[in-house]
Amino acid sequence: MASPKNIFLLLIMLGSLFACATETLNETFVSETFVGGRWLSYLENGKTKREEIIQRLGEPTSSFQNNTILGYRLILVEEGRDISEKEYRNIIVNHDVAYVTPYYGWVNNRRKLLSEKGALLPLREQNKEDRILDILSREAEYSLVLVFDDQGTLAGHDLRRVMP
Amino acid sequence: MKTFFALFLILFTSACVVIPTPEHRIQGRVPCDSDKTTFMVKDTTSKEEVLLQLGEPDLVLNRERIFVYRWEMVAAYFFIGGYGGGTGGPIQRSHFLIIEFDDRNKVSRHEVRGSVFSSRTPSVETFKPQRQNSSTTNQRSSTGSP
Repeated sequence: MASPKNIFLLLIMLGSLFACATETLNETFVSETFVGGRWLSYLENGKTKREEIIQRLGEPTSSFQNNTILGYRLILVEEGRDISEKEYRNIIVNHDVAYVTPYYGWVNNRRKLLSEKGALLPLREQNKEDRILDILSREAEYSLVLVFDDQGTLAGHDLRRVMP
Repeated sequence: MKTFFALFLILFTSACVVIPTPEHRIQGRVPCDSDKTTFMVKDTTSKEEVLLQLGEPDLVLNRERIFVYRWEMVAAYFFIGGYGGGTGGPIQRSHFLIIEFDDRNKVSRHEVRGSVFSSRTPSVETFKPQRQNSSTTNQRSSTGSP
């Protein structure tokens, strides 16, 4: 016969389990709207110059139509430091567990943290090897496409989330 | 006798199960499926519009005449069980959105292709412009996804 104390403990354990199981993936902090407003608010059609963008983001990842359209691959990562291999493994394991269980508490916490202290890192052939752990452990990846007019002023732009 | 028994167990308690599922994405690129390409109108939609709507392509061919977007969906899960162990995982199905542009940089063709096995991925001819037979220098995009 189970004692009231044991039943109480069992209920707490089951309650915790169900609470975990119902936590859904929060897309707010990785949405295109949030990321664009948080890190790319300086982009204004009809105003921002090509030079200013290159100064801020560096050389583009790709270009089209005789350089009138520029593309940037941007990844959302921890700011200002290279992550260690241990951190990388921790992120990968937690991600895998989150998507299999599915319990997204850890992922949601990371996304919130990145929204406050993260950075959008532009990817290029030149920095791909150096930032390989950042790339593999990125929380999200975006494609920023910028269209310029004849004067080199931004005529249109769009940020698309391409991963995950 | 023990060896025979062990071999018997290994042979007759192993199994491989494939469970088909509705296609779904667990990781990788956001799909550029039919829902995302409804804006494309032949001879009207420009390259600029395509780039703004879909982002950079994963592959650029024939001097920007062809864009290829690639993504993967899970079509089934496999499980292999044996004596004392087992494993399992998703079976991915690759999909390709192939967009061709004409001389005015307008969409002249677009199609979504997919297959489960690599031998059934679209043939090389699919990625070539349909109006010209001579192959031009292929230019790989610098945006290859990890």
